[in-house]
Amino acid sequence: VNVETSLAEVVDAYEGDHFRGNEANPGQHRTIRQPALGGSKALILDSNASGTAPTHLRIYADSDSLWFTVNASWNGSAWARDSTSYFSGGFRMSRSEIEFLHENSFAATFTAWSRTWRLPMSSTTNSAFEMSGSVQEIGRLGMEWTNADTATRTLAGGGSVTFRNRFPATPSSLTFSVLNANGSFSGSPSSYFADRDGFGFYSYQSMPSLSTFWWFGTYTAVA
Amino acid sequence: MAIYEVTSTEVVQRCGRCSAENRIAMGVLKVGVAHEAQTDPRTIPLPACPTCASTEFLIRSPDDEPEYPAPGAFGHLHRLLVDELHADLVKTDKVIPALLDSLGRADQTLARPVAKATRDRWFPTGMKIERPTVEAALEPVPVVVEPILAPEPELGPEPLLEPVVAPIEESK
Repeated sequence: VNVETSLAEVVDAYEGDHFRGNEANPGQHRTIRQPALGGSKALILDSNASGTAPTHLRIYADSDSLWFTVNASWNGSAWARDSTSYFSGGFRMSRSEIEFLHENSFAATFTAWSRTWRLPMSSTTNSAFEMSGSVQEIGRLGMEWTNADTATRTLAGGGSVTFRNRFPATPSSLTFSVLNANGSFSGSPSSYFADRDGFGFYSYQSMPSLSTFWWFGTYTAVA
Repeated sequence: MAIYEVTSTEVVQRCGRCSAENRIAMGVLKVGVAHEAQTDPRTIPLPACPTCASTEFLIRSPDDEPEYPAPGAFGHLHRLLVDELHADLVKTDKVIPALLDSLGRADQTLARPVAKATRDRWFPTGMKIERPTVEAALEPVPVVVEPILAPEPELGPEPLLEPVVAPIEESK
């Protein structure tokens, strides 16, 4: 056995994709390469650099997506928290979509993220995130109109609102709160035919001749 | 913002603007919103909040709505609660006049009652939703972490004690 040759083989093996001791940045990585690791989700990186569960980072790959998670590891059949005192979060990216993930149950393990925001890049309709889970959105709506007649008339005003994102389902609640309205405005606008993309609203008002009515406010939607 | 409980006599609502908890008697609720000759039979207008005058509209799920994508989430439970309230009101003919027939009865096909198996699974102790976990979230437990030491600054050239002055060439 040629000792020098054997040592050279060992050094060459350790040198693979690393800088040599006699080079700049000795011991540091060049390109990181991994062969197929197997499993339902292969763990690419597990970094607890901060020493705390909230930022314990893991990167996984399955047959379709890359998963970046904090405070969540894959145990083969479910996500497991590092600490049940904290939420879990992450995002998943693939060739066709990207999805942000949040889990707020504090359960030790879970199989579905409780809130997700998915951008369907490959879908025909792809301009907004599609959300799932508990969704609450606050936005603006308003209307203003005039009775141009010379007599008191009951006139209708209204409009429509598009949500910022596509809701997971038709909202089950819409709340209207006034920010500013004319003093004679009676009641509140009514919602009309809501769906996952938005809703209509209208109001009938008895208006004196040549008067202008307005209502501007906010909506809170729960879906 | 949402309702949290439905009993045989009242609905418990938490106002989305002022967070006031309002207990609304079942007797004042009616299904439906009239709009000219049309009606929206899926909507239940709630009375204005007595504190801030905000107005909430509950909307039962459409007939062709697919299954909720995240079962057990607050949005899913709230939808079931609203569907059940809507069905209870229709069953007792508490709808706006435009939705009553000549005998003063509501069309029972307007209701979309929650299946008993679904009720038993998600509301085993009654039609009530626990407050969202996001509101009951624990304060993060402070964790003592050894401070990460900043790297030593790289040393620059030694400071010059005296300015370098170019020698003045003597005039010839």
